[in-house]
Amino acid sequence: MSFFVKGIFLEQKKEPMLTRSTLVMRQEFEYFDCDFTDTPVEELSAKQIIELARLAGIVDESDGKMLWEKLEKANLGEGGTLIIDAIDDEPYISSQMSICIHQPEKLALGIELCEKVLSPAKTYIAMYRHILDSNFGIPSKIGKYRVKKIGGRYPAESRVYRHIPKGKNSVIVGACAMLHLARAAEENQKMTSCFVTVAGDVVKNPRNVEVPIGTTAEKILELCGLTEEPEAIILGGSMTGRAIFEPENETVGPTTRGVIALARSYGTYSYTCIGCGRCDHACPKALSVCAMRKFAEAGKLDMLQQYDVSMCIGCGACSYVCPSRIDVSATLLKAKKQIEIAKKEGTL
Amino acid sequence: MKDKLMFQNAPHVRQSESVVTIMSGVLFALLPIYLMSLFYYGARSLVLGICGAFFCCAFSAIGSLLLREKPVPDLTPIITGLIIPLLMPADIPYYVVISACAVAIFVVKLPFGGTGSNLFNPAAVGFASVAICWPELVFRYPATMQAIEIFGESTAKIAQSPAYSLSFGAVPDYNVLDMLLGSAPGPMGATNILVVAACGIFLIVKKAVNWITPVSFLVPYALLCLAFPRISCSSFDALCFELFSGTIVFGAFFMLTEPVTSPKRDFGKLLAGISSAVVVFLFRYFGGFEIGFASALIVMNVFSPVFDAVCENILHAFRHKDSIIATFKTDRERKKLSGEQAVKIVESKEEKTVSETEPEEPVEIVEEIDLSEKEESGKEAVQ
Amino acid sequence: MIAEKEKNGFKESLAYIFSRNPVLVLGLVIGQLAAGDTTLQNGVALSITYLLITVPVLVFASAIGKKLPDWLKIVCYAVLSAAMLLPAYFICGSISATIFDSLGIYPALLAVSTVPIVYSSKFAEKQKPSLAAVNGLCISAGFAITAILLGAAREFFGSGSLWGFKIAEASFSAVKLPFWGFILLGFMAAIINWVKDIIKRPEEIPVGEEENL
Repeated sequence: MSFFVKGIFLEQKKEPMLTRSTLVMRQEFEYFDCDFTDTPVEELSAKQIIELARLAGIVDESDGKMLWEKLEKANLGEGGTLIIDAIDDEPYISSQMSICIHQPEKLALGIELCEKVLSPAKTYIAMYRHILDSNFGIPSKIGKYRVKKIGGRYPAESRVYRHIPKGKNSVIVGACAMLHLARAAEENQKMTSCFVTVAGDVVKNPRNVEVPIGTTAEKILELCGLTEEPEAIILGGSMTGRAIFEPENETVGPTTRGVIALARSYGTYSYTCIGCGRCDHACPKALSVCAMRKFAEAGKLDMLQQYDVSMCIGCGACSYVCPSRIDVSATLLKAKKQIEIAKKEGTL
Repeated sequence: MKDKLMFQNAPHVRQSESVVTIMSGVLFALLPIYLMSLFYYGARSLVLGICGAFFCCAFSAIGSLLLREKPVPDLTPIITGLIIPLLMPADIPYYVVISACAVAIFVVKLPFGGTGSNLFNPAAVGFASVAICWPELVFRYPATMQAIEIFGESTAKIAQSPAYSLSFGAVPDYNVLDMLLGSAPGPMGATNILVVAACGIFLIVKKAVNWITPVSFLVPYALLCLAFPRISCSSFDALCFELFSGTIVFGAFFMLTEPVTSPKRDFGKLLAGISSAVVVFLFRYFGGFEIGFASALIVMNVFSPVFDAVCENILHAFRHKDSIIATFKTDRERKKLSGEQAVKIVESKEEKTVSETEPEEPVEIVEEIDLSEKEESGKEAVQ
Repeated sequence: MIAEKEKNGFKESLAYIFSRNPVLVLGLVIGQLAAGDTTLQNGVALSITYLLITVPVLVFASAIGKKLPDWLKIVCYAVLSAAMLLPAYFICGSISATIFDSLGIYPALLAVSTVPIVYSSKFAEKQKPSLAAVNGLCISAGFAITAILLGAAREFFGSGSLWGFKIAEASFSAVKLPFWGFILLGFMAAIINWVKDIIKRPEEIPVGEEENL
C-alpha cells in the first residue's frame, strides 16, 4: 500500500568496482611537505584536530561543507550520535563503500579523531545493504566501530535518521573526509585528491580511483579506458548527477562521487502521461507527483505550493519508474526553483 | 569522445518497463479470450475484434490529422477496439461495433485531449451508447458451440443469458461449471470466467495492473450478493451466478483497471473499487438494463479525482502533522490558561467585528437610496 | 454622448446572440437544455418560454426594480417569471397539445434560472427599459438558436425525423440521453470558440509572423 511503502528498488550494479582495489592516479606535481603538528596522533587535543582539519583543507564529500566548520559548530550534547556516511545507494557508485572495505584502519583512525572532538555517546557507520549482484559481505565492524546496514529502497539516506533516539542531536560526516583527516594527522598530507567511481557499460576497466582534485573527466575515462563511443557521460551519481558535453573541460571536485559513461542515452518517448500513478508510489516523501506535474506544466504555482513541492528532494525516483519516460523530477525541480524566485520577488 | 554525447535529465538509469511493454501485455492477455470465443462461436468473433481494432486506429488517426498533431505510435486505441466487441454477443452486426468505436474515439477520447486525458473509459461509453440505441441487438445472445456466419445476417440459435434470467429473479438453467467454462450464453469474451481470470492474474503478475483494484471490487461485490440474494437457491450457487454472469469479472480485470480514469494511489483505488462495487450492485439490483457494469463504471470515473483529492488531503495532514499538533496544543493551552479571560477576548473580538461592519454598510445604503430617490424625483420633475 | 452610449449598449447586447451566447459561452441554462431539449418541437417550445420569461422580467426590473426593497426584489422577479409560464403554456399548446407535459419540469426550471433572477437584479436595474428589452430579446435569441440547433440535431440523429416528420433512417437513440446532451453542447461550445479564434487571429498576429507558425 502506498501509505506505507515508499521509494524504489534499484539494480545496484556495484560489481566489479566494489571488490577491486582503489587505483591511485599520480599527481602531476608534488606538493611541498606540510608540517601541521609535531605531536603524535594519540596525544592530539580537540582544538588541535579542528586546526588540523582547517590546515589540511578537508571538505566533507557528503554535503560539500568544510569539515573543520562542521566540527566546530556541532554541539551534540548528551547522548548525541555520530554517523559516518558510507551509504552509496545509487547504482554504480561505491566510492565511500570501497574506503570502508579497502582501508579500514585509516578510516577507524579518522573516526577516532573525530570522536575526540565531538565526544558522542554512539558512533556508527551507515552502509547500504541491498547489493544483490555482489556476493561480497559487508563487514559488521570496522575497527571498533559498528556498521549499521541500512536496508530498504532507494533513497536510503533519510532512513539513517530512524536509528537516532528522539530529541538527540546527530552529525553526519562522510567516510572520505575521515580518511583524509587520518592522513593529515599521520602523514601530514593536505587533501588534494578525491575518490571517484568510474563505471558504465562502455568502461573497459571499471573501478574506484583516487584522482587529484581538478582532473578532467576525459583524463579519468582515458585512465580506465573506453570500449565504445559513449552517448552519455555523467558527472556525479547515476540518479542525481548531470550529463556533460565537454569532458575535456569538466573537472571533478571533492563532492563528485563518480564518472559514468553509458553507451546508450535512455532516449525520450513521444508518449503522454497515462496516469498510472507509479510516480506517486515511488515518491519517498509521499507527494502527489502525478498531479503536481500537471500543475507545473500548466504553470499553477499556487497549487504546486499547496501540494508541498518544496518538500521534493530531487531523488529522481519518479522519473525512474515513469513508463512514458517523462522527466518528472526535472519538471518538479524547475517548478520548485520558480516558486523560490517568485517568493523572493513577493509575487506569490 | 564527445561526438555522440546527448542531453538527458537527472536519473540516468531508467526502468526497462515502458508504456509499450505494459500495453502489449494487455494485448497479449486479450488474445486467449479471443481464442476461447473462436472456439465457441467461430471465426466471426476474430473478425469482429480485427474490425474494432482497425476502426479505432483509423478513427484516432483521422482525429490526429484533424487536430494537426503528429501521429504517435499508440496501442491504446487497439485495446479499446479489442475490448468493445468482447462485451457484445458474437452475432452483433458490424455497424454496431463500428459506431461504438466511433463514439469511443470521437466523443470520449479526442475532445478531452487524446490518450492520457480522457475523463471516461472509452470502451465503456462506446458500449453503453450502443446498448441504449440497439438493445434488441446487443442483449440477444446466441447459443454457444455453433459457427456463426462471418458476414451477413446471422441465423444463429438464440438462448437466454444467465444475466437476463437473474434480472427478473429466475434461476438460470446452467450449472456453475458451465458458467466457469463459458458454455453459458452471454457477451462474447466475458463468459469464459476461468480464462478471463487467468489473463487477469497474468496482468497482475506482469504488473500491468494493480491487484488492489480487482480485489477491492470483486470481494465487496461478492459480499453484497451474499447479503442481498436475488434468486432462491443455495447461497453458493447464487453467488456464483451473480459473479459470473454479465461482464463483472472481465470488467474488473480489464476495464476498471484502466490507468487513465482510475485513481492514482492504492488507497484511492481501494475506495474506488469498493464504491464501484456498491454502484454496480445497485445498478444490477434495481436497474432494468443488463449494462449495469458499464454505466456504473461511467458514474465512478467521475469520482476518481475526488478519491485522489482525499488521498492527497490525508497525506498533506501527515506531512504537516508537526505543525498541526503544535496548533492544537497552543489552542488547548489557551483554553486552559483562564476560561474567563479567553471568553472575554472572544467577546471583545465579536464586538469589534460588529462595530467595524455596522457603521459602514447602512450608511452607504442610506446614501444610495437617497441619491437614487433624488435622481428619480428629478427625472420625474423634468419629464 | 447619451445617444452614443445607447448605441454601444445595443451593440453590446447583440453580442449575446453569438460571441457571448448565454448557453454556449456563458454556460447559463445547460442542464435544462441537455435534459429537456430532445426534439425540434421541444427546442422551439423552450425558446418561446424563455423569450416570454426573460423580456418582461428585464423590462420590469429596469422600470420598477430600483424602487423595490432588497428583500422583495428577487421574490417579485421569480413570481413574475413564474406567472409568465401561463401564456407560454397556451402559446406552446398550439404546437402540440402535450408538449408542455412532455417537457416536464424543465420550463419551470427556466423560470428560476440565472437571467430572470440574478442578471435582472445586477445589470438590468441600471439600464433603461428600452435597452433592457433589447438585451432580453438578444439573450433569448441566443438561447433560441442553441436550443433549436440542439433539438434538431438530437431529433435527427435520434429518430431520423424533424418536427415529427420522418426524413431518414437513423436510430442512434442514445443522443436523447442527458449525457449526450451535455456532450453535444460541449461540441457546439468548442465550435463557437474555434470560430471566435479564427475571427480574432488576423488582428493578433502580424502578417510576417504567420509563416513561422
